[in-house]
Formats: sequence, C-alpha cells, structure tokens
Amino acid sequence: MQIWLGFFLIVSGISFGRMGPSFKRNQYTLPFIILGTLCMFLPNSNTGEPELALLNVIYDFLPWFTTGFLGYCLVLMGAPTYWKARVPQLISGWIIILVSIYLYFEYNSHLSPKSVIIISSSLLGILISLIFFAFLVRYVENSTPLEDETPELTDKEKEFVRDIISKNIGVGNE
Amino acid sequence: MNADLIEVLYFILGGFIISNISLIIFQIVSYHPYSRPLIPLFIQSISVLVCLVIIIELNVEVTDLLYSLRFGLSQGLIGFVTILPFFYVLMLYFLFRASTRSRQLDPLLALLDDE
Repeated sequence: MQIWLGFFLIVSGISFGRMGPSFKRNQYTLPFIILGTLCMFLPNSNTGEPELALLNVIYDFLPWFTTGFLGYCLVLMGAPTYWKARVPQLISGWIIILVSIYLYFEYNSHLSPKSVIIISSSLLGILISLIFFAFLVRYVENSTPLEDETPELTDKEKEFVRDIISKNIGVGNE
Repeated sequence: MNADLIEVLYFILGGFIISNISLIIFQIVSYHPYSRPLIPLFIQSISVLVCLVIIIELNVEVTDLLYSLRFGLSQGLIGFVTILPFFYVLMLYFLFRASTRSRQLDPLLALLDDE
C-alpha cells in the first residue's frame, strides 16, 4: 500500500500546485511531492505482485530520468531565451543529458521493441480517458445555468479601481 | 484470445484507470467553489469500476476489486513510465532549439539599458 500512498501524495501535490481560486494550497505542493516520492521509491520488503513488477520498472526508470531532469534544468538555466547564454551550464547540461540517454539504454536493454509497443498501448487508454473527461467537463459547463448580469460598479468602486490603476502606472495623485 | 492481445487490453485498461484515478484525485484535491465535479466524479468512478470488472473477467489470477485496482494501476503506471522516453526525445528537440536560439533584441529593454 506504501507505493499507492506515495502515488496519491504525488498526484495531490501536483493538483495543489494549480492556479485559480484554490491557489493558497500551492504552498503544500513541494512537501507533498517530496513525501510521495519518498513513499513510492523507498524500498519496502512487503511489496508483492503486482506492485513488484512496477517497482522493477521504476528502478530502471529513475537513474536516467533523474539524470535527464538535472541536465534539462541546467540547459534551461544556460539557454539564451531570456538572458545571455551561460555556456558552462549549457555544456554541462547537454553532457548530463547524453549520460541520461546512455543510462536509459543501459538500464532498459532487456526491453524488446515488441514489448515496448505492447506497453505503449496504455497511451491509448490515457487518451481515451482525457477525451472522456473533456466531454464530461464540457457537458457540465454547458448545463450550468448562466448567472445574472453583473451590476455596474458604484462610484466608490470606480474611484477605487481608478486609484489602483493610477498608482500602478505612476500617474495622478501620489 | 491471443496472449499479446490480452496484454494490450490490460495496458489500455491500465492507462484508462490510472488517468481517471489521477483526474478524480485532482478534482477532489483542487476543489473550489466554482468547480462542478459531482457528475464527472460519478461517471468516472463508474467507468473505472467497469474496467476493474473487465480485468477480473479477463484475468483468472485477479479475484477481487481491490487487487484488480492495484493490477490496473500498476499496468497503467508501467505504461506511463515506458512511454515517457518518447516525450523526453520530443522535449530534447525543443531544448536544442532553445539552446541554439539567440536572444532577440527588444527595443523597450534597450531603452531601459540606456537609462
């Protein structure tokens, strides 16, 4: 059960991180993800089937993924997208990414193309569920009655909005 | 039925189950006064339940709903982890483009530098 508790915590943590009216919960994102990751990946002697097969796949996945993630972050830090290129980060990031590709083949050499194709069919299930969810949300949104038109701002509210905008663009009364 | 075909079916069902369970958790955890999660939650739970019953029917080793759920989630997560490298390669392409792209000159930022 430890592995599923970890999965629940990771998904909850990612969900906490969303924007919108529930944004105050995003302070729990990182602690939940760290706790979930620890629960999921720390060895547990009580693990049996079917989770054992999953753990073996995860242990083959973690080395290349963590290395690749580190390289990815370094390349993003060094990329000249928003600022001048930082060559040391860029080069070291790409070297680490190449190492991660090597690690992928090293740890997943037992996977045959046929088994990869069979396992990849789960993508179809994921896509079906996402399309299904989008239709459900669309149905619920369409069936929700429209609310009454919002009343016009009062003079006091208008003045308040004007003050905020003036303060932000640096004009008007200081 | 062909063993490979049954394996494919397990992974499709697993992918469907793990994605739906993740969306169910997401809707509950990120609830806010403007969301209307009741109907999606209900229908998604029913669809997951149907998948669990299909797994029980297909696999003689799976006898109860809880084991079926663990089996489906495991298959789905194995599938997810296995398809990640394809997306990783796709991301590397964009990362390579970001690495080689030079920063465009912004006239507004240049004005700031002049001050």
